Amino acid sequence: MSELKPVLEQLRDRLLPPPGSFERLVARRRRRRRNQRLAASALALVVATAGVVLAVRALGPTRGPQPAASSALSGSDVVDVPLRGETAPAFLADGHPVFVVHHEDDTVSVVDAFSTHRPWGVEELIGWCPSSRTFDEPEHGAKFNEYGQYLAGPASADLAYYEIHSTGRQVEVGSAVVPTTRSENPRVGFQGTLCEGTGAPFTLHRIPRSAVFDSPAEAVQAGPEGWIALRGVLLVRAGEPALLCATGEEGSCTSPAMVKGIDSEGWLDFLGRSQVTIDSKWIARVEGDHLINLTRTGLG
Amino acid sequence: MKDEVEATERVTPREGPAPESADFEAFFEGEHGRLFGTLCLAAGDASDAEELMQEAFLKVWEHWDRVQDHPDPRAYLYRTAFNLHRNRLRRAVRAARRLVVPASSEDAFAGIVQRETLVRALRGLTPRQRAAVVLTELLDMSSQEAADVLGIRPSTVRALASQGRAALKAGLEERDE
Repeated sequence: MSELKPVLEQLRDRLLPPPGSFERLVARRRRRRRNQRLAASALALVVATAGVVLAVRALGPTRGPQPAASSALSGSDVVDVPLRGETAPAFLADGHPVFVVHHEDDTVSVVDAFSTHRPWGVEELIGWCPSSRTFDEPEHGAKFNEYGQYLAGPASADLAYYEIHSTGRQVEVGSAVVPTTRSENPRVGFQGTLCEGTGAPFTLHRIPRSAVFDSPAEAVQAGPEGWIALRGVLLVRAGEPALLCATGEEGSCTSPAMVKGIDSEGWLDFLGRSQVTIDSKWIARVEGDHLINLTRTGLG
Repeated sequence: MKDEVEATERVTPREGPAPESADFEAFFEGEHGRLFGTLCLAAGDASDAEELMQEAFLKVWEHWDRVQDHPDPRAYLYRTAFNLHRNRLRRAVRAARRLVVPASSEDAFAGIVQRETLVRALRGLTPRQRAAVVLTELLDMSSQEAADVLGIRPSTVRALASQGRAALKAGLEERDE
């Protein structure tokens, strides 16, 4: 069928990759190498500490109580406005993370801190890069301008933003506006040096250690309203519900909570693997006996 | 970390491409656009295409010393990319069930003329039909070569490509009417 090839070639040539592909490739390679180095170091550390732990246990160790969270993240629907030109992270009353942006033209925006790139149902918080004045998704490189408009990377839509009512140095945050597409003509683009590779400071949300649940099972049992923070290992296995396990011994899953909304089959199919694990600090919400909206915080 | 988890991270300086990687960067610049478009056609999803493209180039980069001496680095790249794509197609029934749903928000063709009948016809193909058509028609692979890439029999490739071609041909004829 000779007429098909040129038509397919034409269509292929109109499908353009997002800008910054090479930079993302370089960043990805760097992350992979760093993870490989960390894995090697971690293995050595595990072997070294195992001996120490056994020795300490043999001598009858005493362990102090671990600080444990018992409530949701707290915040307010009236948020402080940072100085002109600056951007600050904040939590709304239900613990929902947002960024408050005081633009150079003295207007203010409140932008959602969740990336619209949600691979396989796992959400991710964005951070603020002051040098390029962009919101960046640390793991996959999606980028948005200071109004939350899409600039680059694997995201399907602009960031959500909030209707606000100004009260001077503070703004009252109203309803969320959720775009379903990417901006074709963003108001501003990259405005300086990207954080990736420059060593420029990168602002993420602060989460008090005392607000982090170490046991996903206890978090679900406590069932607080609003967003909670957890430390744990996401475990995705073929044919089983996704679980968030307490960070502990490798190969075991303790104090698990079931996670809904993860496309386990699609994810494992894509990777060609039977299991995926991610150890991270997360935020999520409790619904019934499971977690929903599981979100990586980028804080390791 | 006393009271609070670290709040502000300093991203470590990026390892820029080493001088000896200049050849790789040129290779990337020359090939990534067409590979992305080809993967969009095969996968039907821009986000998946970007992921596959990045992963394929990463694998090529890891073995660049060897690949640049390969008689056809481009063929190596495409084979790597479609091997990765094959991982998604192994469980064909489940994959088909998932991908035949209406176009997602990451739809690869979202920026193209939506009414174009060829795009409609492409969307109507199963993932395996799309892959077979892209490999045999666009990349000029024989059914044996395409079968090796997709991990299926040559006769299956011929059947899938034939079904795909028929559907696309119908789309083209509809456009011409």
